[in-house]
Amino acid sequence: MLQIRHSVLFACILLQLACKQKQDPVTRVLQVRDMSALATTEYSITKIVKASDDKTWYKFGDRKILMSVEADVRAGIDLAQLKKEDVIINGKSIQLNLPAPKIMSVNLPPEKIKVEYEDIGPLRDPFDNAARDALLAQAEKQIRSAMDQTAILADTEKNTRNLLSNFLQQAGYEQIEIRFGNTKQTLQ
Amino acid sequence: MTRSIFKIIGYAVVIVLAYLLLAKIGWLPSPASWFRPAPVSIDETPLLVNRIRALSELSSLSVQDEVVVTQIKPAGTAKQIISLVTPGAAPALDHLVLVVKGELELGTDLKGLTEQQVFIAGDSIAIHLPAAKVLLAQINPSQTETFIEEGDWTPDEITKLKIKARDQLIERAKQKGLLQKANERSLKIMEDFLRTLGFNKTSVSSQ
Repeated sequence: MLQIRHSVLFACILLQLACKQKQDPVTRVLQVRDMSALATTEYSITKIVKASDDKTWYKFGDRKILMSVEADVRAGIDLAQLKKEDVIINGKSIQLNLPAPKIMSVNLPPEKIKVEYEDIGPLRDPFDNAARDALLAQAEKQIRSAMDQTAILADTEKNTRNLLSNFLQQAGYEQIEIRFGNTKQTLQ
Repeated sequence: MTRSIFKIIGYAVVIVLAYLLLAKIGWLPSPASWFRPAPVSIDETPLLVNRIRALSELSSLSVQDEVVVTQIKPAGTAKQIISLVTPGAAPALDHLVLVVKGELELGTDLKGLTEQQVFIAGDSIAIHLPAAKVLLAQINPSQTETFIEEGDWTPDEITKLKIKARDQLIERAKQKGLLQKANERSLKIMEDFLRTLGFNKTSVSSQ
């Protein structure tokens, strides 16, 4: 009798453990970091995300998705790299040797992501949020690597030059020369 | 007869062992990989530049934070019926829990700087900067983890929850006084920059 009672108790504990709900992950602050960057250009970019899940041999039927994504890409210069010797002043003329412009952020706002079309066969599961996010992460990567095909860094040089020239003219400089370091695509 | 059966079994064992060995080395796919679903890759598509905008934003503080957002709603009809006919069953609910990592950039938008806010005389300069604000709040899909997704959730419902996560990130940064810290940093950066430009007397303040 005692043995049966122990067995029932053990089974109840097991059942309790098995039914235990997943705990929500803990919320925590990761990092606060000082920075000194001057963002001077923003590109708004549209990309179509196309995927077809038809490579698994034992899954039958279509599972396709088409999404449109609008990304905001910001570029600028890192002022932390600017040293005293990068500024040469001679009377009313000034020469500024600025660091090379770089991509500062690639932002995919959730409200600018749209599912345009989905084709799911009767034997297939629809794309859930995790699956869609995995595809969008690939799109983000493609956007980052394709940015060197755009003129964003050249535009950043132009905009930075305009911004600083106006300010320096206001400051009384008559001859202004602004140079940039070697441009290379740097992603944070 | 028995001998030939043993012979066939022997050959089969040798073939299986050889296969397992080659799979272990990596020369043949492992048996587990036969039923592993193939990864879904997106097609290479071109980028379309819609808009180019000139900015003048001085980012002085970067915050990387993480929030958990939850959404619960009544489950679909089938689940409701099952819960109604099951004695003692809890009401059927759909759960969605997202762990969202985000990055904020705080600093000063110099576009708000007017001529009246800059005063220059010789090697002296006084600037009154606009107050620091959130310049960027970024929550990308690559930084979002779907912790629980039970039931049917439309993309619009998920978007609303992600926007809620972004609002929470911004609110937490404000509560921690990071806008004030960003403001102080912006003043320091601007002062250093002006000194580098040759101004000996600088006065930088903010709203």
